[in-house]
Amino acid sequence: MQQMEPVTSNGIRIRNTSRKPVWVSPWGYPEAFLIAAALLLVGFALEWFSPGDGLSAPSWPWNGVIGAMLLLIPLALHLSLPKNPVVRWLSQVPASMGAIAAVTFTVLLMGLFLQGQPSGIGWIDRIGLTSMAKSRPFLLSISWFLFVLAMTTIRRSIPFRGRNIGFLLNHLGLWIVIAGGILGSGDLQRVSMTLSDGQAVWYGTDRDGRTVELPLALELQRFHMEEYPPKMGVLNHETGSLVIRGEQDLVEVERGRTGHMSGWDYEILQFYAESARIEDRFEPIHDVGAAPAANVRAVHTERGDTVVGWITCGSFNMKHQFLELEKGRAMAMTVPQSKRYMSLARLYTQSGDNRMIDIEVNHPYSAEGWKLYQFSYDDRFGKWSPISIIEAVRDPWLPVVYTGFIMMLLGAVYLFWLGKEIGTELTQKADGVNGSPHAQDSPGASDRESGSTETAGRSAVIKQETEVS
Amino acid sequence: MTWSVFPTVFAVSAGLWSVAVAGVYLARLKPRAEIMSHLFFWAGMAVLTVFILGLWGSLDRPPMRTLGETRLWYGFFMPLIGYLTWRRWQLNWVLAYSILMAIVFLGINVLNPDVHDRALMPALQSIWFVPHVIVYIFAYALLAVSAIVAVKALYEGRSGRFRMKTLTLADNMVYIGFAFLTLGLIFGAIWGKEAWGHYWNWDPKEVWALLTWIVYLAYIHIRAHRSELVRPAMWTLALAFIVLLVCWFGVNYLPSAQDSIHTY
Repeated sequence: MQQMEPVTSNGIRIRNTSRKPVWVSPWGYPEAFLIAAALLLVGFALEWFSPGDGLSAPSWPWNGVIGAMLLLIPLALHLSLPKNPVVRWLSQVPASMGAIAAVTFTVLLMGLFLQGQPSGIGWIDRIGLTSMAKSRPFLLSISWFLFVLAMTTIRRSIPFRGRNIGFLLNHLGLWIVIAGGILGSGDLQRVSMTLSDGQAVWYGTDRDGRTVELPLALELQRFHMEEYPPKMGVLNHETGSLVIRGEQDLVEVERGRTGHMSGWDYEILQFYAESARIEDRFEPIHDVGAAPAANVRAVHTERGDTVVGWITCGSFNMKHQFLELEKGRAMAMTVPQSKRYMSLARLYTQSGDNRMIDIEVNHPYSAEGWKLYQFSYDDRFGKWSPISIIEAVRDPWLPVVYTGFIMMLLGAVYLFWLGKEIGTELTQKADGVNGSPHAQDSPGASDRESGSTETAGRSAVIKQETEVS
Repeated sequence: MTWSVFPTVFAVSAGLWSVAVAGVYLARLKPRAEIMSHLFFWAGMAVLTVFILGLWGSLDRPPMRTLGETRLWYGFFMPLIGYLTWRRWQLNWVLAYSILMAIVFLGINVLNPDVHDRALMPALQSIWFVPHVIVYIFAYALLAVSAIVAVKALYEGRSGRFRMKTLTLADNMVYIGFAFLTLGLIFGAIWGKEAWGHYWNWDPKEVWALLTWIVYLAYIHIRAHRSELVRPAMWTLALAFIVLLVCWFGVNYLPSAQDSIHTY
């Protein structure tokens, strides 16, 4: 891409000439990346010298105070020193790119190292690589990112212009999401409640094992689970693994089903979703511990041997049962997968409310500022689990974060709809093509004024190339 | 209406859509062919819509619980997004591309009827599942094209035949793709809140989705600020796709993904 190198309109290459020393105004990219690197270094050093459990956001009102400061400091800087070159630099693309790079680096570490469990390698744990989200380098880089993002957003919003609406939706929306999410984590409460039949529970346990009293109580009436039908397949007795060959995959068990599997033709003569073993057969029964069972006839395709018998995957109080086909081979049933599960419970609130509710996966129930989620059950018992585990979550900052989400969603629609135009507009403005009186306010305009030397002929070069092609 | 009539529905819809795509390209020669494209496109959508509504009625629940039913929605929304993008940006190939993807998704259902019963675990049975996945598929499809365009631009630059049009196409793909990437990230967050109690859990897939988003964010800023830096921008765009691929396929193989909720 030789001809895309900076060239003046008369074709003389002027790259690498008159490069400005670092830290001399106006700042550009080198300063941005040096600051980002310094923040990361300081962050890792702090982590090394003050190891601990990691950081967590303070709770109300201190997170509110920090949030206000994150907003007011950039605003004060912008209003009091609008012409200061460093203040201007803070609201331009080079500073943003430095901050983006720092955040990218910490998030990349998060994506490479298993988080939340110490690796056992001393220095890796000590500098916070296995708990990045709570580490000082992450805190410093994300704070720097928020600061620069606030500077950028403020410069574009004062004075407000209608054509900046997309910019503001995206930038302010992102700021609100990140600031609201991080600061809000200080007030976020997540506790789990273990419910068992007929006992009212008004407290939960948080992840550190502390008991938290709730303004509501839940009394489990019934844990209800629906299951998909079980499947069956041919099992290798010796290895315990399923013999699966291509289309002879697992098949769903249903009465009357016929087919071919690993050299055997089978027919499912009977199927009960819930049954119990009575001597050498199974009978349908709806009771705790009932398990699905099927009566299967298998005929060897070549030899013609016939085997008839019951198979079941069993349950916590019923042993599983295979149908022996030949030496080392048996027909077996898999444990059914859950289709949906929910807790039917009575809810009592401090305000005197008392009603039946159901809490299902993906359908949390809201009460008294808490959201109640179907979280787990005792999987040893499956659908007959005597307990149900509910997670109660309180997140007073959720409306803040969702406001940011909505702004970013609208911003995304704006990007989709006007994508090319925004790009063209910004490019032209950066190139100084449209001669807008506000061109100096555009991202990076000032570092181009004196810091970069290659602007003058660029648009001419691009035009020439377009003509050539 | 049940899955038994689906092969016919598929054949009719795919046929109507194919005519619509042909019409788009014919319109270059005969502008009136474009009207035909609109008609045939919407006819194809109508047939599929009737089937989905019929299936919904016969199942007595929204068809959103099995793998096959999920693919049905991909096949429904993908052409719609492609159509919208085509109308807005006059990118004929986007319509063709999205319809081809829809035909592949729906075709899998025809060739492999087993997927109709393939169970979805309860956490996946959410109204957010389909929107979350569909906007990601569309974003990934466009960003894949942007990576090819980036390589093309680098090649053009090397061979001295650089065209501004290539660059504009890359920008366009990224802006549209990035918009959908943002939608996918936020839909995922909202779904996460409903299913797992919080909108952000630093799950490895989330971390890599964020990384992918940031790298395209960096590309947009490089292009907006220093439009003369074509080569670095194109390298960023090519690299961004590698991050995207790690997020899409690679995450499961990383040590960081041992406890991911996105591994199935």
